[in-house]
Amino acid sequence: MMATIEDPVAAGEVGSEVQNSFRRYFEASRVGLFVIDRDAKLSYVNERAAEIFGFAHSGNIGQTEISQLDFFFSQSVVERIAGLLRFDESFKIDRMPGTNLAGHFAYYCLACHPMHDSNGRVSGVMGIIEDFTEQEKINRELKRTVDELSILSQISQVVSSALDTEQILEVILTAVTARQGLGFNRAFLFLLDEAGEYLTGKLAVGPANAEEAGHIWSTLANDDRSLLETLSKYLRQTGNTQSNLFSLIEGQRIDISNGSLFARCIREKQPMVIDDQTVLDPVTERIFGRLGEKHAAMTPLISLDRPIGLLIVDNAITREQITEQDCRFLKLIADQSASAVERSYLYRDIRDRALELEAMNVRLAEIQNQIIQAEKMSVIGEITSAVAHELRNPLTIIGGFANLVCKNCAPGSPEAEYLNIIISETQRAESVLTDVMDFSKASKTADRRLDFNGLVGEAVEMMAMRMGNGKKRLNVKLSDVPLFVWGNSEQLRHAVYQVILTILHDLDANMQPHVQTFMLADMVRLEIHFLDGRQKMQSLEKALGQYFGPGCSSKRLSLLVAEEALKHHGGNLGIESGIKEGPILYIELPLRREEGDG
Amino acid sequence: MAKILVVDDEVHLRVLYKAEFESEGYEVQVAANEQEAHGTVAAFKPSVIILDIELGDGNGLQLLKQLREQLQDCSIILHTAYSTYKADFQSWLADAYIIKSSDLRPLKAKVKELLTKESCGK
Repeated sequence: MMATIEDPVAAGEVGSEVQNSFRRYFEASRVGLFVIDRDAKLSYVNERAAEIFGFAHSGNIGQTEISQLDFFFSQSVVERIAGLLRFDESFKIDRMPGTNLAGHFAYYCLACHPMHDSNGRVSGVMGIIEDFTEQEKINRELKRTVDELSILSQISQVVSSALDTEQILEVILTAVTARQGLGFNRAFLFLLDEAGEYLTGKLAVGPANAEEAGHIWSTLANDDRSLLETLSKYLRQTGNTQSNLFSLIEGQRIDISNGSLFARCIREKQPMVIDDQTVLDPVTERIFGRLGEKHAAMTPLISLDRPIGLLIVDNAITREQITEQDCRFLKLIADQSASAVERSYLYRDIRDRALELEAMNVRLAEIQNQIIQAEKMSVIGEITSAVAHELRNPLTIIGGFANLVCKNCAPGSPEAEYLNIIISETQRAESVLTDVMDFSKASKTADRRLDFNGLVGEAVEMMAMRMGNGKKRLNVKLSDVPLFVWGNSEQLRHAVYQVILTILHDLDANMQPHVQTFMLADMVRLEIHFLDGRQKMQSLEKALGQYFGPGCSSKRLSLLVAEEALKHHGGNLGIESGIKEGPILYIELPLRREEGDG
Repeated sequence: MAKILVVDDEVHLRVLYKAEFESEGYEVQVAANEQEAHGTVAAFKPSVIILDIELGDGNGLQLLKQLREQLQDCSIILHTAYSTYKADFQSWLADAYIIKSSDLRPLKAKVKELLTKESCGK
């Protein structure tokens, strides 16, 4: 409907056919048109302009001073329109906010041009106005979408170049909190365990308090790096992102089998805004209590339809409200991040498998080599051993009888001379045989997995038989759990037996040493404790001194051989002071674990 | 007179050791296998047993264990053509391990040493 004009444009001047034609055109126009006369009064508005200004169509706008349009135009715009009447210069304002008489707020585009009379003087102002609110809204949406896509693209670009899970997680949280990114104040990441039962606090980024926030943000205020540059920087400095904030979630485990909001968020795979209206269950209340903030948003990290974690963000410092739109974008980032995390898990698994495979290949090559060598040595050893043994007895008989007969011969006789030749040649042949048999001996025993308790048990039993039952008794307590070591069974048996035998040989018959085996870290250990009175202890320490002290004796030599054998197997032999019971003699060897061991 | 029992499946070696040790003044009996050894020790009560390991159909190390349980005060010398058994855990029950040789002096010296030890211990 056309607005009523009490004082039409250039009243008295309108009348001509042309002017009427213009007027009809103005009234039908879909853009807002208005006229200001030379007295700075609003003299004409078309239907669209009346709608924009919020005028009633009763026609009360005639002779309205433009200064009275301050409900709509700002003071500066009013001054510019008034100035146009004097200075004859057009102007245009692209984005102008304004609220009309009906209270409607909108963004407008305004263009004003001077009108001239036949003498060329400014006779008024023609204004064109249009509501740009919808356009502005679309522009804003478009900008936001472009910004979001840009953030998403930059995050994607950075995380796609990272394969390490820790790096990816740090980049994600940095992107969520960076000013150029999502701009949340704080971010907390919880990861789901493999069984999908518990969320565990993994990473936190953001200032711990307002003071720290002020310091960080003022430092970053002049940082004009793009998000991509910022994230790339953090990617290079992985490990530095973790803030003091992490202590709030460190060690926190959230059971998601119950009905907490965390569980719901994971189960429904949807983001969630937490605010004053949200009813908190005890679990959620406990966690948000630790975070010291009850306005937040959280979103699950979903990869291939499988939840792998949960991201919580808040604006604890700025108190800025988190909108549904923020939440939606957060979910988008979280989902994309989850894929990257999942990919890093796969990469990690593949890398671990590759390393295992490489180690297995090396081990396989070693074993193959050992088998080839062992087979060669075994065959050669068996042959040489058999041949040598078959020759040894005849040589012993020949040489032995030659010796026997020679004793009864007159010294210097030809018979004695011939017999000595036989004896000498027999001994030379025997010497060759000894070398051959030493060679075959080396191939006999291969390294293998050994039951350490079995070795000790055998040594103790053997020692009891050797020293006579009942003469010297050992109190033996072997470990309840099997203890396995790796090595040459004969050498290790010999070492254990020799240590026990040598030490106990000179021991007072009344002393009853306690022998025990157990596991200590990655070693298996045999300890011999002497629990008798202090007086006997002194003699024991003296006795042990001759084995472990300086100097050399035949007994010490036996222990040195045993010690060498143990060291060759990565173990040790030694003596140490017990707190109460005096010296403790010990043997230790590396524990051999294998797949399937408990 | 000290008593020596020689257990060896080689007949010529048994003859040699008997002649050699008897010439040294010992009382010597011989056994060709495990069964003969068991049959002899109870009545003969040797002070030293010279024991071969490869006894044809018998195992000298098994016999060593049995003799050790049976005779606490008797010294046993393992006398074998093999040096490999020295690393065998079971061989450590013997008082000495001597490799067979045409030179019998080490064997005779060890017998003498063990008998001296034994007499000192009594």
